[in-house]
Order: sequence, then C-alpha cells, then structure tokens
Amino acid sequence: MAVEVHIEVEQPRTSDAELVARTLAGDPAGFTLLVERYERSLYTLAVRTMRDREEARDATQEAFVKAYRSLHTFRPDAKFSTWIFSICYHSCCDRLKRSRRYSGEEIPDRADAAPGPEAQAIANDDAGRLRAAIESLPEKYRSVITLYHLQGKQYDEIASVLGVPLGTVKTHLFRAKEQLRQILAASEKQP
Amino acid sequence: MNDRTDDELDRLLAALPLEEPPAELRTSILAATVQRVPAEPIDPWEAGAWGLLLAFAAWFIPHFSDLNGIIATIDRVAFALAQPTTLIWLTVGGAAAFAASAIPDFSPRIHLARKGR
Repeated sequence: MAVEVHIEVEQPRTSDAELVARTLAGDPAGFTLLVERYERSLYTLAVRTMRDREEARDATQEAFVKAYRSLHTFRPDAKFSTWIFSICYHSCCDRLKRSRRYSGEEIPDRADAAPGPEAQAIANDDAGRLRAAIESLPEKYRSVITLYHLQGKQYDEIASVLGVPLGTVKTHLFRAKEQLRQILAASEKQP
Repeated sequence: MNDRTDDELDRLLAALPLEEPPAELRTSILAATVQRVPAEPIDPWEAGAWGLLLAFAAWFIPHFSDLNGIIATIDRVAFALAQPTTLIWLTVGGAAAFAASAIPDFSPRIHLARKGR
C-alpha cells in the first residue's frame, strides 16, 4: 500500500535587503512585497503620531513613495525597517508642522487633556483602553512608545528613527510608560 | 492600578493589534510607485522641430504685415544656404554629429515629462 507523505517545507522569508535589490534590478514584485510587509506598521506609526486617520493615510503613502524614489540611496548594510520608519516619522512631522498642529515648541512633560467621549467609548476593553491611553500621551512619548511597540527593545534603532540620542529614547520611554500606567490606572477606576 | 509592572505593560503593548489601514491604501501606493508609467523622453529631433517652429513664429509674427520683407529674407536665407561654403560647413557639422553618435555610450537625451502620461 502506497502511503503519500506530504512534508510542508516553510519557505524562508526573503530578507528586506534582497527585496530592495530585486526592486533596484527592475522587479516590481520586490517593492510590492515590501509594501505588504510594512504597510500596517507604517500606518500604525502614522496614526499614533498624527492622531488623524486621513492624514496618516497620506503620510504612509508619501513615505512609501519617498522610499521608492530614493531606494538607490539605501545602504545594504542598514536596516530597512529603521530606514522606512524614519522616512514615515519625518513625513508625519512635516505634515504636523504644515497643519500648524506642531508648533515646534517643547511639549510639556505631562499627558494631554482627558480623552473625549469618543475615545472613552472605544476604551471599553484592554486594547481599546491602551490605545486611548497612548493617544492621550504627548507627541514625543506617543512616537517612542509606538516604535517600542513596533520594533521591540531596539533602543538604538528607535533613536535612529527619531533622530535623538539613545539616552533621550530611554528617558522618554521611561516617562511614557509611567504616564501610561497612570492613565490606565485612572481609566480602570472609572465606572 | 499604577503598580502595573514593566513586564505587564510590555505584554499589553505586545498584544496590541496594529492599526488596520484603509482598503485602497496599498493600491494607491503601488499605483504611485511600481505601477506608475514613467514619462517618456522626447526625441531630440522632436525637441529641435518644436524649437525651430517657435523660433520661426517668434520672428514671423512681428513682421507679418511686411510680406515683401519676409519674402526678401527667405530669398536671402535660401541664397546663403545654396552657397558652396555653407554646404561644406553643413556637411562637416553633419559628419561630426554622425561620428559622435557612433561613440559607445554617447547618447544624449532630452528628458522632459509630458503632461497627461
């Protein structure tokens, strides 16, 4: 009796550097895969930084277009995620500056005003509560905590994306977590 | 609960789902990048022909009322072009252009984006 054995071999994930090289060689599938891979992360970074989904959508698209046009400047030894997060973050900052919501002044080291009724309505579960808490943080803490969420404990990569020293990242992350704890504690006490 | 530990907060953050982008975002990104049709370069002869036409129009329009003067000018230009010296120089110029075009990797192009493409 013949027995068929199916062994599924997981395809190794193509590295970002390979996809960049394929794109530069004229294969559009390379960049398409990069878009699929980073679309959600970039959109998340943009939404959390800008707190406006329409603007975030445009900033995400702008980041991919900028990355595509300057792909030849990407160094193969660099990390693609850090590079494209940096492009996206700076696109968001430019848009915030243009819309005059970003004054360029030092943002006070405290959370923004209490979340509005819409934010309170969606904060009815853990994820919603955490999302609302992140949204109520000042801009510099929102960005650092979002990158910590997206990139993990790679503080030097976060510092590269934000263009700030490593110590600043650690300080901002510490304060962001402190404020998150306070906001979450306050929201859990509410009926 | 302000006494939430760092690990608990990290676990909450790790479990937080990413934002769902709008459905058409990927399509519009690809349309603006890999699917974008590049602007075709205008051929040198085409650019030259437009330049000649515009130069002729710029010269002709102010002299439109002076038809005899225009005819006389065209006569003079035709006469000058028919001179053996002019023909020799035109031949030398054409031969130089042909020789330059035969040099490998020497292909000057005029890149002008065309509207509507």
